[in-house]
Amino acid sequence: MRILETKNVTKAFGGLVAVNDVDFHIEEGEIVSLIGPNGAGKTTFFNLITGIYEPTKGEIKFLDQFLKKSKPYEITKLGIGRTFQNIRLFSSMTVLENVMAGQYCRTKADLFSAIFKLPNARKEEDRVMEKSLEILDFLDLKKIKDEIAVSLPYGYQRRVEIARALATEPKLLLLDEPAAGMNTGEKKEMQGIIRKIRDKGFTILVIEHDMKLVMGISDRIVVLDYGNKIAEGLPQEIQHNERVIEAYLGKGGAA
Amino acid sequence: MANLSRVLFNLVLATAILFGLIKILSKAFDFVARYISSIDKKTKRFINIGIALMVAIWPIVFINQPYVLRTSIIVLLYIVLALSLNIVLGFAGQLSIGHSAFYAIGAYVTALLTVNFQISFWIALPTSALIAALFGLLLGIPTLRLKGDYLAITTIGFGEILRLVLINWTNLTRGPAGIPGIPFPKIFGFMINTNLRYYYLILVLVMFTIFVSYRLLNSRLGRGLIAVRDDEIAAEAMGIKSTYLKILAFVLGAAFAGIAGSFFATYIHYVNPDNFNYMESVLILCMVVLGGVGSIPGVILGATVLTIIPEALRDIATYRYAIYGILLILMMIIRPQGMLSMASLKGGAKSENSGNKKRNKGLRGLSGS
Ligand SMILES: Nc1ncnc2c1ncn2[C@@H]1O[C@H](COP(=O)(O)OP(=O)(O)O)[C@@H](O)[C@H]1O
Ligand SMILES: [Mg+2]
Repeated sequence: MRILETKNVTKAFGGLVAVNDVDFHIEEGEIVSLIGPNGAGKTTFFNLITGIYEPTKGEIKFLDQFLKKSKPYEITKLGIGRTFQNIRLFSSMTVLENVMAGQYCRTKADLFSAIFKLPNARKEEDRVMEKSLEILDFLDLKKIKDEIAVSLPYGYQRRVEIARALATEPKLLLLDEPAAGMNTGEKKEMQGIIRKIRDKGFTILVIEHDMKLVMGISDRIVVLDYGNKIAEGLPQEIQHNERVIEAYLGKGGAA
Repeated sequence: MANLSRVLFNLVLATAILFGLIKILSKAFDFVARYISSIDKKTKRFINIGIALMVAIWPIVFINQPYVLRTSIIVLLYIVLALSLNIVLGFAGQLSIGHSAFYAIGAYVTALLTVNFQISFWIALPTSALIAALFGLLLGIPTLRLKGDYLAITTIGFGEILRLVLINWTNLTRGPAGIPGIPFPKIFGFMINTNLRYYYLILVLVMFTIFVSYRLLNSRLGRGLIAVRDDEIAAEAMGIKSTYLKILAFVLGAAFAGIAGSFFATYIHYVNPDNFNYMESVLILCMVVLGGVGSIPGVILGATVLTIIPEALRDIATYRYAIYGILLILMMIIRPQGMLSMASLKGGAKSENSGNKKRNKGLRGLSGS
């Protein structure tokens, strides 16, 4: 089943067209990588899907719904979770609290029942705690659950961001450079984590620069350059695609 | 001339002493925070009961010292006020500097209802909270898109406008003359007419404020609020509707300020616009920032310290406000995160000065961004 589809999606910042006429789709259960040189418009594409920006042109369809004018929090509730390239964890919260905050949109206790801990609020809190611990366990973060998240090493912070995104119970997970700044060992670990998440039934769209990681996890690869989709295909196809090599190495390098 | 140089000398001396004092106290606060974050639930409950007992017995011990009782009541009153601003500033991260407006609304509603309409305080109190909350909503909605400095300026404006209305709407408020003769509260024939009784009344209100603050903070809504404060974009991306939570914080903060105002009116028996000027808002703001933005124990401590210090400095009246000012400046330089910051109470104190700078932001992190 097609879980997300974009048609002619365009985003211009003044004169700069960051994303240009991009047609894109992702099937349920797939891992798709979005690659391209710095400034190609990958993050902007994520921001369009998640409602942080509104497309200048074109449409985005998630499941059966067009995401026109939807707010970010509404889109998350529909089932798109994400991480950020420049980590944006909640800085005064522990790891556990960060993940619990991710469950916000799956709970509904109102002010009164929250303050007086009425049965529905109590039950909900128990469920949030249970679910959050389960996610932390799944990502091997349980032993550091009470640390202030932003005081952790970089690699852990990226993992906590993924845990927080999973806590929103997404159908589609967007990861923006989850292995950036990691060493080889950590990258390998990240590769395992992404696989593990997919095996749980999530659909994953990932922006990544590390070719080894990309080749290792992707069912399909989409390449952006100067906002344009210049290639799309299986990892082997992309590896040998001339336009892609050109985009990465420049015209001279390709020769 | 000699006099001036002596004053200057004294101020420099005071600065040096305060500097050393804050440095030492800073270590002590870290120690306390680390201790609090390390103790288990049972011990915590034990300590809480101990504090509650002490606070309950306190006025009986000082029953023959009206000065101590009055000061204690004022401390408790400011704890309610500071905790009410803490919901807006500490939880939602909205820099509101017009908070005394809601305090004023609470006080005037109670004054008008009890004096003009002979309505019981017990009805006037919730009505004051409700009407203040309504004004919180009224201020909260149009300022949703404002952040940091812009929000601060707008809220200052709101506070000043309200004060001017109180001064000029003489038909209703009697203008600068104020409203005297606010009666003692009476419940089932039991009159609250002594300092001791007022102490217990405000103590109940303090307990209620603390209770709501804690429960709110530890609920889904509290996590949502803190998320919005820490990073609004990330919060929205996690499915948190920030507009709703910000308005909720404004409404709740205003309601509790209204409760404080209502108590103030019935305790002092007289309200006038000067009680609720800009400096009052700044004072409440200082209590929250100095105590530790968002941290409930911190804010309680901040309100207590900033109410007692001017009293303690009464004997050196000349220097009182100078020392007060120096203290605030030094605190901001040495310990911007406040006395007992939120992060330090979660065990983040040990790495307080290392690692990610984003964490211990205090007021700095609230402007702009
Ligand atoms: N908010 C913005 N305002 C103006 N220009 C932007 C904004 N966000 C991104 N851009 C520009 O759009 C282009 C694509 O950026 P981005 O999507 O971050 O690239 P990538 O993630 O592929 O490295 C860059 O030239 C960038 O400078
Ligand atoms: Mg990017």
